[in-house]
Amino acid sequence: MELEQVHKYVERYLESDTTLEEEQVLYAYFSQSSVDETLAHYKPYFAAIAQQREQRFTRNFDPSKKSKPLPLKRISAVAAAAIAGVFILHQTTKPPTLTTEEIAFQEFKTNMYLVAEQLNKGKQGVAYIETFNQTTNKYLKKD
Amino acid sequence: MDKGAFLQRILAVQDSMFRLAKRLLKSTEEAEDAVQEVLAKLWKNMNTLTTIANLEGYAMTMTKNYCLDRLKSKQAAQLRLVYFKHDRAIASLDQQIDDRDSVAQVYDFLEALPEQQKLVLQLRDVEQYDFETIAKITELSEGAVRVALSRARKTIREKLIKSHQHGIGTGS
Repeated sequence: MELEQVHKYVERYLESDTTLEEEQVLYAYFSQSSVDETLAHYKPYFAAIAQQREQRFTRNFDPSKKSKPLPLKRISAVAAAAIAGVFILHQTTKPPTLTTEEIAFQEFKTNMYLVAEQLNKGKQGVAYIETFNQTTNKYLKKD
Repeated sequence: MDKGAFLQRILAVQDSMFRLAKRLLKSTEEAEDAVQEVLAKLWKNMNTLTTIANLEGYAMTMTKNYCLDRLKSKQAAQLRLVYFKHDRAIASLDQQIDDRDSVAQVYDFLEALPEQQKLVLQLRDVEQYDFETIAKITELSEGAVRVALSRARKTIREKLIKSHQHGIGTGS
């Protein structure tokens, strides 16, 4: 292709006046190993575009998988974190719930305290009786 | 449209969708996620889409919108800078591997373009769509597409000339 023609195409290319076919011609020209010095600065651009066209979507799209993998993962991660957070919060703030054994033990403990209290009262009573006996004995001896 | 034919049609455009998404989002992984999302949406809405004659163009529009939305939320989260740096790292890797500084530099030039010009340039130069299709995808008038494209190409040319004069573009 004549150099002058390429220059004309390039000028029109810059004005968005080239057709797709004409642009193909330009790409073909710039893909050659040797490009005229007056146009050499364009070469990297056309090389970059050609490189871009080679990029492919490498994942496999499977329509049977209805869920959107990434957002779902994110949502479940957030949900798990939230649940764990609430759980931990509950664990630390709320007093532990008692099992029946523990309740039974607590009740037994209060009962035993009450019994002990009554026993102490009784003991005091016994002490009083003892003193009474001693006094009585004292007076009885005097007699 | 039967399922098989529909899948064929949307899968035929997936590479273009990916390239567009990558140009806009910069990260390969994000671009792949975007394409997967859009493909899933298309598949889900298959029944309502049977009336759309230009399914490929529609898929590209959806991709564009999806990516621009992502960019907006990313900007809001100020994550843009991170991805920008990420891309620079890839570019410098390209340089090392290919030993073609000037080509890698072009990616920086493309990166620096305003979003709309970037989009139009991608659709025309990489994907080779006609102006009518590009106008539909970008939701711009054909005139506006031509103006944006012309500005983008001229900006790139200016930068190419400068770097060539500074002798950076010695790889070519």
